[in-house]
Amino acid sequence: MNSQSSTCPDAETLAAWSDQGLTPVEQRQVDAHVAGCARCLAYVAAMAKSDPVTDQQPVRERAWLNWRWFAPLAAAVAATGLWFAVKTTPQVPTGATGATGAKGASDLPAVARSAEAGAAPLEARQQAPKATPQAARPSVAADAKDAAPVPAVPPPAASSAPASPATNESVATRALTAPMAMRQADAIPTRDIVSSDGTTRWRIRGATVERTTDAGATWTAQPTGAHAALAAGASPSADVCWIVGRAGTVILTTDGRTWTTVAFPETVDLLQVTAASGSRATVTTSDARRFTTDDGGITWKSGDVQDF
Amino acid sequence: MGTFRDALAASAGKAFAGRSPEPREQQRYLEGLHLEDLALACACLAGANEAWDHVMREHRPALYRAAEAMDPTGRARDLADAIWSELFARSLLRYFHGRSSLLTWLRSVLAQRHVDAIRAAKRLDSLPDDEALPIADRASPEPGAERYQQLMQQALASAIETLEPRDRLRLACYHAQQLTLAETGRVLHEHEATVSRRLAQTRRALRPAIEQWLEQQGGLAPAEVDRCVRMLLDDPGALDLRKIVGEDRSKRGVS
Repeated sequence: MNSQSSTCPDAETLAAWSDQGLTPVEQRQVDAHVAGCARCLAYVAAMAKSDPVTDQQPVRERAWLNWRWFAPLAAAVAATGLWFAVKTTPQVPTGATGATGAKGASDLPAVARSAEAGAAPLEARQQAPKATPQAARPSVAADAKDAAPVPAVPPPAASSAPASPATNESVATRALTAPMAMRQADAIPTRDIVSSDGTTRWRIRGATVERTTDAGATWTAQPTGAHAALAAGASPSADVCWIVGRAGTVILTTDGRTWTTVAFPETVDLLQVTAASGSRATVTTSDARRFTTDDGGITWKSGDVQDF
Repeated sequence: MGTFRDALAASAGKAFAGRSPEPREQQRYLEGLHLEDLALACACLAGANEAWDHVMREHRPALYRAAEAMDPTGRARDLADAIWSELFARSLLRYFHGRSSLLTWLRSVLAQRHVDAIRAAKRLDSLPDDEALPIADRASPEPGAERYQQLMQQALASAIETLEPRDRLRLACYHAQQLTLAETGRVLHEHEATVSRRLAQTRRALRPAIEQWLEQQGGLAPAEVDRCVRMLLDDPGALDLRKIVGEDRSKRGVS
């Protein structure tokens, strides 16, 4: 087993492989690669663990091989040649590698990474302890010395082989006349914003805002005038809260009850906000710029974000 | 419509890698796409608020649930945060070509990043442990054990190499990645009973191949092969061969 192949399928190909969206030939080629690639096997495990399908009764037989032995064995297998011939496209570093992504995420202001109250509990997906005493096994089949991130997402194809217009038209028409699945979700994602003193919480859900002062026992919806989806907020005190969202949406309350729409100089999507008071706040845009106001949003000063 | 047509063309262009497919092949490809999700991605890229709202409602929580399932310590969640930021910035979504569902694609990107992050961390944390010790450094219960273990390792590697890719993948998912039968079945799109049955078939197929290798490549006499197997059955160490060898050999009356 290779600890890592230089020709690992990209994330899209592996996703298609998971969804059985490849041709039979491609499917077999990816089968052959994944079976001999530690990185891709770890990927498979991660995908299997996160599969939305609920598995109530996991079954494991007694292990015959365990990881200690299989790693060197698999490496020997790979050395004899598991040739991966699936059609590959040039890959570019896209940030799809963990290190880059993790850094970017870890640099986000804490307030913008507040808990997702809308995230469903995991009980339905977590499985009972396995029948073997190997539950604490390593999840990554990797030889550490060989580990290195590789590009995962390919660039858009520059191919000049478009589908025929007639075919495209029929498929496109079918797709666009099909329901866009804009159905109401069972659980709309929410994001909680906790005031710095911990006494007040706001909850944003789509374009709506709710507030609680009794630790979530009761929530009161507050009209804000916002129409775009809200993304993040910051509350430097119990009465002050800034919330930002799509299309340059910034709303502010300084009494904890009434909201005003703050004019923002651009209609760019806003991802994060940090605030020190009802006057001073900094927002981060989706294109990695940062705008700061010291006068409650009357004027904004821009500056690039270096570490985003 | 124009944007969607462009997306279809881009998807086909990537899949066919510059060659001109037959109309039937092209038609089959396009019909196999997850058109609804591709249209959704196009709408998001075009800045449609409804589309973004839909993604926010349906895919964002699912992505975070996937992150929690991959790594309850929260590391994958940070990666999900980064993915979400990139989606908002529209720098990532253009790589979605509809060959899978949007959610599977998001999970796939997350899974690759998560794996790479762990591998990168392991590379930095290279303290040796027992698992890293070569076989020769392990304590051997009796003379010859080291040699037998090494030969068995080589024999097993050789036997595994002869398996069909799908059998090898099933074996690797179940034994190396320690997935459950159901999880392995989901990976391979097989029922867990089928996984169990085929694993058993594979193990049965491996045993004679191992014995043959030990005799022909390892240079062991038949008696030594038996001794090798018996020794490992008595003290398999990290390799439990009872399942593959012991039961069937006892049925054959081989001591």
